[in-house]
Amino acid sequence: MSTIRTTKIRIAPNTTYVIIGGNFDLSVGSILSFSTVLVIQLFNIIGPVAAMLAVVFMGILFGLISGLLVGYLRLNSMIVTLGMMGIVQALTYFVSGGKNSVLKNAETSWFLQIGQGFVGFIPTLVVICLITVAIFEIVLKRTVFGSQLMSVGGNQIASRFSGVNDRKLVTLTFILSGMMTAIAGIMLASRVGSAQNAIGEGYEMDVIAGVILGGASLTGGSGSVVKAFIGILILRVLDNGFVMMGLPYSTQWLANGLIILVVVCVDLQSKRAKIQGKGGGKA
Amino acid sequence: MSNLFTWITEKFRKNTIIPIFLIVFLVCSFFIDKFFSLGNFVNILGQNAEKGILAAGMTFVILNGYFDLSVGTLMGLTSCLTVGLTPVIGLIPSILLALCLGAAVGLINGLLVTKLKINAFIVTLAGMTIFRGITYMYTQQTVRGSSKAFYELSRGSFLGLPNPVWICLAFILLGQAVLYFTRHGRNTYAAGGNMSSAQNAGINVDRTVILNFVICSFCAAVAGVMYASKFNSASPTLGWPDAHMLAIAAVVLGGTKLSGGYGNMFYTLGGLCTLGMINNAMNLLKLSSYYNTLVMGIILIIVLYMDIVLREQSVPSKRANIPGAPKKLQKE
Repeated sequence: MSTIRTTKIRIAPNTTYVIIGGNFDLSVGSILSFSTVLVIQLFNIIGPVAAMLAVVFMGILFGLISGLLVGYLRLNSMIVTLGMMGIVQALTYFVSGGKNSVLKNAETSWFLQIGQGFVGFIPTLVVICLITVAIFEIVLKRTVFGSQLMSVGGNQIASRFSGVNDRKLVTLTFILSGMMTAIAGIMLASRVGSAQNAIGEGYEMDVIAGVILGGASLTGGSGSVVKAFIGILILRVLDNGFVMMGLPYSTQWLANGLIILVVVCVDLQSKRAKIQGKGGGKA
Repeated sequence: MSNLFTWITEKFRKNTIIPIFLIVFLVCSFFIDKFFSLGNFVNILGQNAEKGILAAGMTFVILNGYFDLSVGTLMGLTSCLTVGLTPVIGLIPSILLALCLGAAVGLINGLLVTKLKINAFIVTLAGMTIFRGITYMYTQQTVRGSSKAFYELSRGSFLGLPNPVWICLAFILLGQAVLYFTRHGRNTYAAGGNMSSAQNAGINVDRTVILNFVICSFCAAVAGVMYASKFNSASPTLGWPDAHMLAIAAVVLGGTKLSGGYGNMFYTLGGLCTLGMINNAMNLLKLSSYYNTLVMGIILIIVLYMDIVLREQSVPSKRANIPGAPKKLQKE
């Protein structure tokens, strides 16, 4: 159960959308750090509700900038989000002043209940997470928006000729990504009650790995939120296993990297086999 | 006189790094005292020598239209190995081992990208994490160096410039010579410009790409060895989190196109020096080092944007006139 509480799962649905659209969002890690830090800093100044709204707004703003640059200006999404990652990380240090942020008056209630409360016997975070995954999956598979997104990822120009506003869709995926990551940061802050500056470092790669493990195509156009959820779950369980065996963190990094390579390899081979099979052997 | 003027503006427009470099140089010189001094310039060069080697290697890969994200942590790994293995097998063997490791990593990267056709981003991103893991498995804290002679190597100077600067310059000049005078260099440009055309023209594109990845990782290994020499110790956090971003920024700032096929070593040198000046300026202004990543990120995005804008100006846009398409879709 505690594996599902991890933050990476909460970032999975929006990352799946971005990847299906054919892009990568490398800034999720630093947006996560930024949100955690900002929500706690603002909580001490203007209270929980305003802090949460402000943080979500900042997440949407970051997503909007990345989205406009990638969707409308057609810049390479990897480089743009790489740059955003640096900018947001710097802003995190700027906001926190270099120190860890801690909640004052932690007894005030319901903010911590989000992260540490229970619905019946299931942790609140798990419930929120499962609901989010379900909503995103239904939107992806059953609405016009979802199928348009898949077509944009598959062939952007063809989808534009078919009447889909591909640029707006791509921008929307980034905005959603920023917003959901900000919310994930809020939930992380509420669970732990404090914030570290570099907590999100490296998260983006693990989430992308989980999404690819769940069957999304690297070039976009196909994928499923539920399978991405399962993919990240598998990776988290593996990590947990390493920790329980007493192996150091470095083993996790090593294993994660190797798993990504193997999974992508297998994914590409199977896709090539499918194409070759259909095309009668033409590569 | 007007001929000279047009010649200068032409040069400025084609080699965008020159006006960028000059503007940064002039702004820093005028507004920051202590900037315009010989000692400071030598300082800038000395601080960026190792990053220069990193960027020089990265140029080769970017010229092919790819990029290598694993160089930062590879640098950390080779640095730790060099220092850590010196008491065990001696200085020269451990340096050679680190360099061979660099070349081997480049070979693997190249093979995965060309033969298995895995996205270079994924391969090198995975590599980045893997090397970080291996480095931390080897040592969790700073490794102390033990060879005095090694330390003196980077402390010494020749004609007023520190040795590492000369090594960096040698790499850049050598790289430029390879690009301009060798067949591999010409193949690199061809493959970067249009991979399928190059393939059809008979160039072994796979081998070219693999060789470029080897060069890039080899340069990362050299940079790692030089850092080990500079500090006479090695920390497993070297190169994390953004050494690769710096190298890519230097290359792209210099004018080499990310899509490949256009650019050269002098562009990279210019980009490197410009970034070095900006870094130095922030230090002199006593801005906190957090601003570093901020500025680097902003520069990366600006340069990317200029890359697209300038490309559209010099080459007629492919999307402009699609015969038969309705007017609404013709406007891009």
